[in-house]
Amino acid sequence: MPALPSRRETAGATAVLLGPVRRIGFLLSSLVLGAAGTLAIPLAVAAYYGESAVVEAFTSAILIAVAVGAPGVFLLRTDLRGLTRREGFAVVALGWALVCFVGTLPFAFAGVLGPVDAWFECVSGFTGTGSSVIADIESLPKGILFWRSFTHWLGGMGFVVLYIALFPLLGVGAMQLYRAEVPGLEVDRLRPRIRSTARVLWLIYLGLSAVLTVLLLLGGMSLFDAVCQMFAAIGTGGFSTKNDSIAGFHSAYIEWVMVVFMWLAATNFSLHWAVLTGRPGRLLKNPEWRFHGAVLAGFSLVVVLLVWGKTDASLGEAVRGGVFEVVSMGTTTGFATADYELWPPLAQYLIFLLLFMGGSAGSTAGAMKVIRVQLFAKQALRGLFRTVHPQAVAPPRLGGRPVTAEMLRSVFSFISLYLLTWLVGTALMSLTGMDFPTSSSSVATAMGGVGPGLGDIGPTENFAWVSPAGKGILTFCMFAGRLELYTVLLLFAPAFWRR
Amino acid sequence: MKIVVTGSGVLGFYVARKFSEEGHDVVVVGEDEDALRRMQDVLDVGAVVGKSSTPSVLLDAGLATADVLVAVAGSDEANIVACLIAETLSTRIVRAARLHDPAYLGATGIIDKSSLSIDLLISPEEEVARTVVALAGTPGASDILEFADGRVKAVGVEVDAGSPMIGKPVTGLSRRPNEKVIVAGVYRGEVVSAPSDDLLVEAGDTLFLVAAHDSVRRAMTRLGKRWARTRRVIISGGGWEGVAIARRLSAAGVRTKIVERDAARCEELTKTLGDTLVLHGDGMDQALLEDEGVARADMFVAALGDETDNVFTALLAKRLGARRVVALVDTPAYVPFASAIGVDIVVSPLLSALSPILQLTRRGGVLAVRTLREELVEGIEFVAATGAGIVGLPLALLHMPHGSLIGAIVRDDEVIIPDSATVIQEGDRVVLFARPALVPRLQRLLAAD
Repeated sequence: MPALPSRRETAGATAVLLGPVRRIGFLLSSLVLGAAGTLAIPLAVAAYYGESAVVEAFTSAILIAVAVGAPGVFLLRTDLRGLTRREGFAVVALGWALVCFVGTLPFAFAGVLGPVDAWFECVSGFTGTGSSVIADIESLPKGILFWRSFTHWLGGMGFVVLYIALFPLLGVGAMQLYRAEVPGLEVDRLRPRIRSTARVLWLIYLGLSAVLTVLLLLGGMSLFDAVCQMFAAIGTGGFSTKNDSIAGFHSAYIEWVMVVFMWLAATNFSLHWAVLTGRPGRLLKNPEWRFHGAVLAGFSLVVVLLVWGKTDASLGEAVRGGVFEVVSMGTTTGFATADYELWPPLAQYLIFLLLFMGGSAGSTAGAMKVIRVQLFAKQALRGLFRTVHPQAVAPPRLGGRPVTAEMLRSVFSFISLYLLTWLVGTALMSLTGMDFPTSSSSVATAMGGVGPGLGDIGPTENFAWVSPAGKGILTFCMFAGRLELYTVLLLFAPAFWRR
Repeated sequence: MKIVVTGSGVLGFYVARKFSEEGHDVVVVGEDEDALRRMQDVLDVGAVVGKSSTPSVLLDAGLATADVLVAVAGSDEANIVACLIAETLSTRIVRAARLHDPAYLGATGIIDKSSLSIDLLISPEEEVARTVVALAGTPGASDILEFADGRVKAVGVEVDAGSPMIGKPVTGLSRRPNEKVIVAGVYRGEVVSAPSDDLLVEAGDTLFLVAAHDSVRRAMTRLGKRWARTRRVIISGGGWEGVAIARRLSAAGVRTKIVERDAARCEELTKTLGDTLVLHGDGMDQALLEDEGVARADMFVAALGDETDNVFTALLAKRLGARRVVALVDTPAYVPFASAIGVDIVVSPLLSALSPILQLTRRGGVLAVRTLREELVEGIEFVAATGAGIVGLPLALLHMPHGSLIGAIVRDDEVIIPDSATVIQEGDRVVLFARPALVPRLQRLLAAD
């Protein structure tokens, strides 16, 4: 059997050396330029509300981003089709850091936050985490509030995916970028081409966003509030424009609409596509979706019973608060309507567990992803079975199909790496002086992209008091969790840099 | 266009790559999950894991809405079934299938391609055999493509050290009155350059000539090649390819011997190959080859199952005195150095099979597409349509993209080698050569608007 041809065209030595640098440089520059473009939207919002200081902050941020990005876009323009897998990872990891840096500028320039806090808030926004350092959110200028929520939406589906959808230059290189940004076990192609797939994903994303906005408007929200809450729900982020989060709207209707849309945002988008293209059976038969639904329903039931039985809440209050919190945490959104730290310990424990599971692969949710947890559990039980039937050839099945050993291996190594990162992160956070519930849950909530945790970072508290070092560690955990570990951790692996 | 390719083997890979690079939506169906994953690493194509003859798998791949099906899985039967399924799903889909077994190819007259609902039959063996026979008929050539029913030939010629053309401009060969030859490109150091007056011929260059059928011989002679007819050919390897070559050569009156390792296979060969001498033995065995007169063979074809065996066997035969040796090699990366170490002619069954498939997505009057040397150059034969951008203007004013060339025009059975003043008329058969990357751009020039 003949070998497959090498993708690298024959080229001179300089081209081989400079090719990767040029490609990475061009892509990073164009991402920064793209970030400058998105800043124009909150700029317009600030101008509409007549916030001149904020307009100035956004204008300076845009000018800086253009100055940084434009030369690279014009000077480094090159053929991107040769983009390798390694370069793809580098572009996505560095691109996220750079775009977050650009996004930090308006917070800092507007004078609402110091540099470290601004960085924390921005990373928390882009990664869909929703952990905030701001106590009095309602006092912020509208332009800043809008940008804060908008970062959720941009980061939720991924701005690199948006880039792929909009720019045709990439060819096969698109695959390398897509793989590095989109979470999940394997690449789920809705269309044969990655670019068309990225477009379909963004169209579904836009569609969900539009529907939710309309429903929130019908619930009596102002357009500004509706759009901002929508950004946070669809991007499974968690920033609100109210100090009391969603509870601040005092509307059962809004809370239930949010429950439904947080859950939709945490559903694999290829299932949305299946339903839209007339194949609803795919959704109903999808094992991951069913498992996620079952976990949310089961946890909700237990939490509701506990809250109803052990606190002085009425059944109605327990259902409304319990279901909302379980779905909010179980989709890695992190909105709050009830303070779960006042709930019985078992309910708190369940909330803690949800920090790790997250939503479906191929959704905007973070953390380990349901399918990995599901396969992990199945394989663990399989171990029991094998002690009774050592000769059995019975791989775990998912939706009737046997799961390949390769896939199980990748799930195991991912979960091990995830937990290892969590353990190390917790140790480091403890070093900054946090107690155990706070340090362990802060790392878990940052990696999972959830938002609040337990201890001193509960749903009614914020991260303002955390030391700068602690904020640095947590932002790293947010990146690592959002980009599913490998993309970020690879940059620190010697094997990645070796030729 | 939407294209479904069944078969995750090497041909499937190349077909998928070619179409995907041309901007079509490609979905590959195959059973080998690893191969599909590797394919997706380098190609922007969709993949569906499953048996390519299973209706549900093909539906998953989107066959119902596809424009083209290319069935190139390993099994003939699977390919036929895939075409039948495609026919029941959609009436407009164009179906191409690879079949190895000549029994399906209409040789018996019981079934033909239409009864199997196949629009284009791909038989790599027959394509290879056609090429080898054409090469046998053109002494001195290392590559050959035929157009317009053989009236126009594109020929690759390696310049020997003693050639009288050395040191002269490559264009010198073209400027002779009454000779219908043009140098279309010069292959040196693994790149093809466009001919120019400053480019001087060096030993070891391969010149690509486009010539009218009856001008090939004179051009070869002027390049210092001896025009010695091919009378005796030895083929090593009695697989599908070897048999197809032997059948066509015998039919052309060439004395052919075929060496096959497997005794039972030899028995079979004697039944199907009437005029060919079937020898039982190892095709790589020096003593056997010497006994059978390899030293006096005009051509030796290495068509064993393994491409590296083919290269070495061909080199052995060359050393034993065979005049021209041919090796069947599929891996494109091997082709340049197989030539460099002394194999006169390298033929790729894979690329031979690929060429006719390319025709499927070429619109408007395209009669044939052939590729040369690891797809360095694509030759397209088409009919100049009414209103096409290419009609009615002198070639100098057409602004053909750099890296493309109109090699020949066939008008009323007459072959014209064009110069800058030539004007293409409606209904001309035009043979165009271009780098594959330029083809989508050229299509616009060819299309009628």
